[in-house]
Amino acid sequence: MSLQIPRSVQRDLSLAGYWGAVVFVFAFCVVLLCAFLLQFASSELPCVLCMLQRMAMIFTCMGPVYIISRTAHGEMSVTNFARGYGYTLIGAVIGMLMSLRQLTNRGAPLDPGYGSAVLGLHAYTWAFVTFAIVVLWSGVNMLFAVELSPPRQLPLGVVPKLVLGLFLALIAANVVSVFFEVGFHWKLPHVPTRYELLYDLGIK
Amino acid sequence: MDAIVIALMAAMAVLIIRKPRDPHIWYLWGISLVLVVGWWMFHEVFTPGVTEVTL
Repeated sequence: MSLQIPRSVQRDLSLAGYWGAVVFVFAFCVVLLCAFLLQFASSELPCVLCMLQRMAMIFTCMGPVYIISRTAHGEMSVTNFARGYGYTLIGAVIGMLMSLRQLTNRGAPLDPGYGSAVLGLHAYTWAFVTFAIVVLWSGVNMLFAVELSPPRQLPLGVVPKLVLGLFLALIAANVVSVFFEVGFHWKLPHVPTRYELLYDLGIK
Repeated sequence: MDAIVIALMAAMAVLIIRKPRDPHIWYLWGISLVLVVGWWMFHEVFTPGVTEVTL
C-alpha cells in the first residue's frame, strides 16, 4: 500500500527522508556534545547509567548512518530504509529503558537527582525525552517508508560528510573519555568523583 | 569494559560508512547489542547502589 502523490512531491519527500537521517545524526551529536559540556565545564563525571545511555545514543545513530551510507553507495531501497530505522528503534527502546531506570532511581521525594539540572530537567530526563522522540520519529519513518525512502543514489555532500565526521569524532572522544574515567579498572564506580587513570598514574 | 564496547561501536560505524553491504555489520551490531544490555544487567545485579532508590 502506498499513497497516491504527485511525482514532484514524491521527490521532495525522498529528499526529506535522506535529510531527516542527516539531521537525526546531527541532533544526537549535539546531545553528546552537551553531555561533554556538562562533563568538562561543570566537572560532572558520567555515572554508570549515564555512560550506558551515551552508548545507547551512539547505538541509536547507527540506523541513520546506515541510511546515509547506503544512499551514498547507490544501494538505497525501501527495505534498507526500514532496516536502518529498525536498528534505530531497538537502540532507542533500550536507551529509553535505561533512562527510565535512572529516572525511577532518582524519582523519590527529596532526592536532589544526579548532577545538575539543565533547563529544569536532569540529563537522564532529557535522555528519556530524546529517546521517546526517536521512537516516534522511527515509527513515522517506517510508516511512510515507501514515500520517505531516499533516492537510490545521492552523492555524499559536504554537510553529511561533516556530520558523519563529527559523529565518528564524538565516538572516539567517548572512548578516550571513558578510558580516562575508568583507568585500568574493569568498571566505573557507582558515583565517579575523579579520573581513575590520572589518579592511578599519580598525575591528579 | 565501557571503552571496549564504545570502541566496538566505533568499528561498526566505520564499517557502515565504508562498506555498508558488509555482513560483518550484523555481527558487530549483534555483539554490541548483547554487550550493552549485558553490561547494564551486570551493573543491575552486581553494582551496589545502582538499583537502589536514594532518599
